[in-house]
Amino acid sequence: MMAAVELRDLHKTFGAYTALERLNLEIEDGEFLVLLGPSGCGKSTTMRLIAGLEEPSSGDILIGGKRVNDTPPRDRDLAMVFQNYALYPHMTVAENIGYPLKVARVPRTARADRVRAAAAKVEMAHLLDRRPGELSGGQRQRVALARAIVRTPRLFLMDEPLSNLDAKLRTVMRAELRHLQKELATTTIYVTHDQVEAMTLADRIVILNDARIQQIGTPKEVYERPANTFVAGFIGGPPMTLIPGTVTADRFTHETGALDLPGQPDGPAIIGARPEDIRVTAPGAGDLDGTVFSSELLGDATLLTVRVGPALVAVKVGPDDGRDMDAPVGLSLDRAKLHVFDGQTGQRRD
Amino acid sequence: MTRKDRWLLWIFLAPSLGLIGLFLYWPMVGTVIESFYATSFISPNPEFVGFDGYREVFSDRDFDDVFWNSIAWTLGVVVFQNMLGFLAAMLLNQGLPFRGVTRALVLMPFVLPGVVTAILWRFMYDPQLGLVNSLMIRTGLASETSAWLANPDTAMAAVIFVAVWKGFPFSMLIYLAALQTVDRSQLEAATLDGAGPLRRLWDVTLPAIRHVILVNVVLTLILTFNYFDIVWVMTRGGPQQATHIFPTKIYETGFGQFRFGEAATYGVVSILVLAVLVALYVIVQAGANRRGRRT
Repeated sequence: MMAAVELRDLHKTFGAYTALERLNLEIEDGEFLVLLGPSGCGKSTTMRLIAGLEEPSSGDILIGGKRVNDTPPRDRDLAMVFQNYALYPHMTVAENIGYPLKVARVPRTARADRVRAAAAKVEMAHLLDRRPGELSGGQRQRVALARAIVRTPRLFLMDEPLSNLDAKLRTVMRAELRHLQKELATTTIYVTHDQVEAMTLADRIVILNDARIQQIGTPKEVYERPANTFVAGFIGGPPMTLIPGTVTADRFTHETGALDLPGQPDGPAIIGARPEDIRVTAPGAGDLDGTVFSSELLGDATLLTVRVGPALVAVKVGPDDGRDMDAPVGLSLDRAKLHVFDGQTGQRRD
Repeated sequence: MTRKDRWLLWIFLAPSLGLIGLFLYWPMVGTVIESFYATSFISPNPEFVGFDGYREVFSDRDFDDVFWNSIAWTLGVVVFQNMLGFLAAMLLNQGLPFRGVTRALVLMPFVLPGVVTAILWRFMYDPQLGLVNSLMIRTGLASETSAWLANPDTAMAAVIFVAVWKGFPFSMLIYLAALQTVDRSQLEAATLDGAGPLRRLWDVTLPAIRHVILVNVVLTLILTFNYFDIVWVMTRGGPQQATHIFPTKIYETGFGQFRFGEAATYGVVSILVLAVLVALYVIVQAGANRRGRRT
């Protein structure tokens, strides 16, 4: 069943507060789309509008080419996984998973078969008689997933489903989720504020801020060519270093120095460099000079934080290249991977 | 704790235990003792009659009337008060406009003193001047006026109605607080799972607040069984005993007819019924606390 989703001029206000500003978005059939942004950016509102839990102030929602604005949630044929799992505490695991089928009046034996199959998919078949209160966070998450997949909806909505899990379990569940989604090939819209989750899970990421879309693209695109300084600072951990300054006659001047920047128009500009695109040099031999603020071994790399003037610059170096605190260093920026943004609008220049 | 500490503990506790015993339990013990004596206004010296007083009361038709009236009264009030309270709570739990004002208005009957309520409704039920008859005739529900409180067939229903009117805001308050604790995402999950409003009520809301419902029902059972002022002021147990319940019967027998022994016998039966209800309340409350600790 085709489940392409289209949002046309979707707008939502709560009183005087605008939660979503004329959003336009097309989600392909079978795609794993992640809505990413900080708290209050409008990502959960978008999902709740698609689910039918909120009504749009204006604009259209189309699922499978059909306008569903006036279709009640239960007739939209979608399943949602909630941040707190929203399991029914008085029902067993089997009853929780089978609830959508019970409501749909699926006969008891067929229901039991499908519950077992869904539970097996998320490796919960051995705990069907337990109640949610007797399960760990990860197990509850699996039950919530099984409840979502049991009636094979045409669209999955997931609202920060991994945020209540510890870091290790989150990594495991992330991989399982990705695998499950590809196996089922069901269109999935996933909301998160965690950029690592977005990068690892998504076919495409939609980055939202202040109720507006900032950029739509594959994880590679948004990482390598962020559309503005917000995306540049939001995607990547540690984030990209952004240095404000002024371009005059192909030369970029900033608070603590200057570097050649050919081909850029004169005026205020912001340059950005990812931690892995900055090299440590001898003091005075690079584009910037500073002192080591901290040196953290990550295992396969060392993260140096260098104080340059008032700013802190993150630099990724080899695991054996850590430095002492307060050691003077020079930093050289990889010109080919330098990002240049307009100093006033913050939009990407090239 | 050493032996000395234990003594000290009891010494500190003794004054409060003494006062509780004196003011809380001695009247009850006194009532039980009194019930074994026959006392009357014209012969004030009590005469020990043992269980004869009980035999006499149990074989009297009045006791049957009072017993069945008390059951009808208690069940009638508890069932309708809780149903109406729950419905009102559901309504107020929706995003209605002027919710604060509506809530305050609905609470009005609850804050009126019982005696004031009773007098107010006596006027309302009045066959000549009352609003009830006037409204029923105007809307075509009745063709002639009725003496609601003077007719043995309607008196009990009429006083039950007033008690429900006065008591439902209390149940509503408790249900409203409970409804606000129901996990919104569970309701939303059920909506997306295909459940309609009734199904969500049955499958999510009611199981989530079932302990509150139980505690509320048992609590209102106790409060209603003990009710006195509305019934006494409206009907004095009449007409023809049709609305006599334990508290009104005890009051009338003791302080109207000065038959203290008989009043005490009714009192003891009343205490026994209440003891059962209180035990039920303790069990239900313990269950609710256990559930509260688990979640």
